[in-house]
Formats: sequence, C-alpha cells, structure tokens
Amino acid sequence: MAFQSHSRPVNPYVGTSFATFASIIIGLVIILVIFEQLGINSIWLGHVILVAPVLAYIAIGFLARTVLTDEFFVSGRRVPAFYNGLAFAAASFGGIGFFALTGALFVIGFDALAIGLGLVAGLVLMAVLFVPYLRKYGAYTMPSFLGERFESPTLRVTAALLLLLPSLLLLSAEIRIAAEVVSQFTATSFQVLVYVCAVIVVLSNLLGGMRSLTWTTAAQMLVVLMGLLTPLVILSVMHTTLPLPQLTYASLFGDIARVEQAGNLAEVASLPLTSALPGENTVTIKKQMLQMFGFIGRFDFLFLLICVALGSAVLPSGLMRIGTSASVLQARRSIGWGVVLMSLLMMSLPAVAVFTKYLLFDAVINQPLASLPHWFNELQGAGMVQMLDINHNGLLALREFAVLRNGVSLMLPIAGELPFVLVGFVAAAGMAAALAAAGAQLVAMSSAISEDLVQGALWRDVSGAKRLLIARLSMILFVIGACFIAIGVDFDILHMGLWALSLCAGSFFAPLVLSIWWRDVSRTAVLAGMLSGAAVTFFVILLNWTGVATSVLGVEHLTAAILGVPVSFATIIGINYLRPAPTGSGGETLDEIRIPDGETLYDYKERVISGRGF
Amino acid sequence: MIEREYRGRHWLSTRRNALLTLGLLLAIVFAASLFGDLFAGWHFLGFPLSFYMAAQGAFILMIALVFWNSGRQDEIDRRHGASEEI
Repeated sequence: MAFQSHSRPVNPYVGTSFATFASIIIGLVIILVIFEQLGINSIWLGHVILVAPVLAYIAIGFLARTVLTDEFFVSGRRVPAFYNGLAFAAASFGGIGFFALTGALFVIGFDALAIGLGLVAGLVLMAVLFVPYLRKYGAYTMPSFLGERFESPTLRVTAALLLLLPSLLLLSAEIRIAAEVVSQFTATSFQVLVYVCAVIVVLSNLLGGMRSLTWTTAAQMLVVLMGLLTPLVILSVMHTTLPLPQLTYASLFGDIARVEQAGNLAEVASLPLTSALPGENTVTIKKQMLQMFGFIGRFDFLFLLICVALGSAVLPSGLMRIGTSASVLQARRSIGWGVVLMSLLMMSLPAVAVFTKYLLFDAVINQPLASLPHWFNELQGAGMVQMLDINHNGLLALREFAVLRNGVSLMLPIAGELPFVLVGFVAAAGMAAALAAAGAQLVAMSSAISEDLVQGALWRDVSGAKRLLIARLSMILFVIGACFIAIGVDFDILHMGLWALSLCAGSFFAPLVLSIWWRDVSRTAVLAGMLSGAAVTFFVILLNWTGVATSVLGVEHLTAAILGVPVSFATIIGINYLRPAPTGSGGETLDEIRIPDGETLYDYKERVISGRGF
Repeated sequence: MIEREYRGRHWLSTRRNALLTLGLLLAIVFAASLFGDLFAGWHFLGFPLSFYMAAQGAFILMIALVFWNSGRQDEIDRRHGASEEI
C-alpha cells in the first residue's frame, strides 16, 4: 500500500495575509471616508474604492500563478477548510444573490426566501450525498469522475458538454450585473464595462487556474462580507441602537406595516412564478412584506426551493472545488464552512431589504413631492426609483413609487444617508461577489474543456503543459462568448440563474446520486438519464425562449428541473432494468470511494500513468 | 485500512446516517415552507415565528445538521476502522 501524506504543506501565512488584506481594505475605507468629510471630490474617492480591491484581486491571481497541473486544477489539494468555505459561498452567492435576491426580498418579501433556503439546502445535499465520495475519488472535474466510475469516455465528454450551457449562462449573468452596477455607480458606458469586467475575470484566473481562483474568491468573499455588513451594522446602530442587524430588523416591521396599511396593501393571491418574481424594470410594491405565500403560492415556494437546492447541489463549480481539500475530512469541513458562510449571507439579505424599505418608507412615502430628500432625486436621476403622481395630490403614495430590483442593495447606504464612500464600498462588494462567481464558472468550464473534452476524448494522455494551455485558451474563448451574451441578450439575470440551476439539476443530479449510491447502475443507463434529464429541462426552457409557452404540464420554465430530475431518475432506473450492468463492473472503484481512508484514487492513477511508480 | 469483509457494515451505517440527515433536511425545508402555518401567531425575538423559520431558523438548523452529520460520519468511520486518522 502506498504511503500517503495527509499533511500537505499549506502556506502558513495564509491567515496572516488575508487578515492583512482585510485590514487594508477597512483602513482604506476609513481613510476615504475621512477624506470625503474633509471635502475631497467624492466621485474620485468612489472610483478609488472600486478600483483598489480589483487591483488586489488581479495581484492575488498573479501571485498564485502556477505551471503544475495539480496546482492549476485542484490548487495542490492544500486549501484549508475555512478558505474553501469562503470560495464555496462566494461562487454560489454571486452578483445574482447580492443584487437580484435582495431586490426580490425587497419587492415581494417573504416569498423570495425560497431561493436563499434552496441555495443553502443544496449545499447541505452536496455535503451529504457527494462531497466525501468525490473527494476520495479526487477527480479534477465532475465529468472525469463520471467517466472514470463507468470507464466511459462517452459519458465524460457528454457531461462536459452538458455543463457548458449552465456555466455560460451564469458567467454572462455575473459579468452583466457587475458591469451594470459599476456603470450605474460611475456613469461609464455599460458595454465598455462588460469588457473591463471580462478582462478582470480573466486576469484574475488565467495564470493560476483553480489556485488563483481559490485565493481570489477568498479575498473577494471577505470584501463581500465587509461591504454587505458594514452599512447594515452602522444603520442598525443608528436606527435601533443595537449592532446586530440580522435580529434588529424585526423591530422595523411595525413601521413598515403601518405604511403598508396606509397604502391599502391587501393580501394578494398567488401568480405564476414568472410574474410573481419581480423583473428588471422598475416595479411598484404590491405586497405586504410579511405575508406568507402571497405572490408565490405554497407549492410554488416549495418547488422553487427544491429546484434551486437540487441545482445548487450539483453546480459544477462547487463539485470541482471538492478536490482542492487536503483530505476527505477536510472536504467535509470545507463544505460545512460553506454552509455557515452562505447562511450568514442569506440571513443578512432580508435585513438589507427591510432596512432599505424602512428608510425609504420613512423618508419618502406619504411625503410632499416638493420636499423629497436630495438623495431621492439623485436615485431618480440614476433610474433606480420612479415616481408617478397618479392622484395628483402632491404626496407620494405607496403605489406611486416604483423601484429597480437590482438597485436595492445600493439603495441601502444611499437611503441611510451614509458617506458616498460607503455606497462605493457596497458597490465594490457586489462587484466582488459577481467577479467571484464569474471566475468560478470560468475555471469550471475551462477545466472541463481541458480535462474532459480534450484529455477524455483522446487515447493518449495530453502533457501537463498542453492541458494548461488548452484551459487558458478556453478561458479567453468563453469570456468573449459571455461578453456577447451579456451585451446582446436581454435576459433577466435572476431568470438566467434559475435556468442554470435547473439545467444542472436536470442533467447531473440523478446520475451523480445513483452512480455513488447504487452499485449496479450501468453506464448506458446513466448516459441515458443524463441526456434525458438535460433534454427535458432544456426543452421546457427553450419553449419559453421561443415564446411558445412558459410552462409545460404545469411546470414553469424557471423550475424546469421539477420535470427534468424525475425524468432522469426514471430513465436511469428504467434502462438499468432493461439492460443491467455486467456483474462486477465498477464495483471496485465504488468500494474505494466509499471509504475515506486510503489514497486519493485519481492521484494514484496519475502517478501510475506518469511513471513515477506505485 | 478497513478489511473488505467489514466494508458492508460500514456502508450500511453510512447509508443510514445519510438517510437520516436527508430526512431531517426535508423536515426543516417542509417546516419552513409548506407547514409554515404551524407557527402562525407565535413570535420569536420580535419576528413572527413562521417568517423567522424561513429567514433564519431553517439556516441555523441546517448549519447544525451539516456539522452533526459530519461528526456522526467521523464516528462511524472511526468505529469501523475506515477513518483517515492513524
């Protein structure tokens, strides 16, 4: 039996470096706030707070450069659990979570909690069903695992191709929201910013692959946490005298309810999901914050939650991160930390929404139109809010006020009348979230191309240098494609996120679960299941894209996986009974995967192949 | 390293642990969503309890669940000699 080292050399200065980084960011914010109070041009300061972290990400990406394949694809298998958790959370959260989810919570209140619950439940599913086994196998990508488990290059190539579309959707959505937010904040052209963000994502990840990605997203996640929580804590202290915003926002419910009553907001009936979730145009608030299952009915809520959970459990960028832990135990700890951090974010978003609502209602609703605060007029100028004086009584009633969903996160510090630098800090945090998720998708796609499409389809093994080159070239290629989609296609980013999650769930959930938990499943069945699930899910979404129908058999396009996942399960089980696997096939690999002890199978294989010996 | 003949027992315990965790996850999800009305009328820390469950309670329970599952799995591995510790 080969001797394996469980204690891989982790850089002992990781904690110090990140603590220094966080301190520098906080110090920078404080200095810039002081400068702003002293009268220095705040626009310039806003640019500084946006650009400085970005330079840091690119620097980290450069410092983590590598030419070794195991560093490039799995970060040398020595990422400590906490930082892996940061990376898991950053990739799942993204700009979609930071902006679209907060906005949805603002507009429809309780109903939007399904998405947050689903994301975290998905991480829990991943932790129970996949993490220890995928880590024990140790494949660099998820298609590699499937291909090796069933000894089938076809399966490997198919899985790699199927993960491209959802990842590309997420990549485009994240680049788009990053560019939109910065464009709103700095009044620069949106298209130029799309290219700029694309360049930033590529530069952060090109030279080091997964290694760059891990450390860059860890830094980005720290910025997200600081940027999201700082204005929140400040406003919580200012308005409720207690610094724990996730708990103090309850005290604001009374004031909000009073305004809702004055605006005659009745209880609403449920709508189809597509209409229930607020879109990207300015929307009026039609629903009480606390009403449960208002626009999104009870079962739609559950289905949305399940769909998001199943997708989040098999998100390719997450599954690829599993291999970067030092051992199976560390992998479990990593996903545990991911759950903790993601939960922290999800518990803070309703606080952001409620505080923003409270501040806006307090300052603006039922106030005379002539004497609205100047920051509100600036928001109007930026297009983030809209006023319509329907009844011409000179007062701004609740139904005369429309808000831009994606702008709600930025509205918190603005409505709280915090220094402009803090608004910039929130924008920088949102940009960090989007860049982190974009980077994760990009690395996932490029690893799949290099490891699975090229390496998996050829008989000979491709040399390490060539694999790196292919991965880097495909990064550049995909980011260009994402730019086209971000600029040219006008989909709602929340929809893009939900489609991507549905596609992942429909294609991969059943195959992964059954390949680990069912010994006698055959490769034909799994291939058929993957294709059928992907086809059904894609078909439902395609019907919506072509405008034919928004739902099939009562299943809407946003939750298409509700149809896709059962179809793929049924296909796998059905075909496996028709054409059972040859006895004894795959059993050995499976036995090894199920035991945490022992050497990572993929590393063993790589060593054998490269001739370094048993 | 665990012997081949004992792997069956280890896998049985692992599977039971996983099923139990998934069942609890389903219970948490249902409590936060479908059966949210169970908590109607109660308040917790100033929140209506049904809102609190979906906004925070479920997350806290899920964190506890993940670490509990991980701890139990470590115990199972150690008991059957399949753990990575020497």
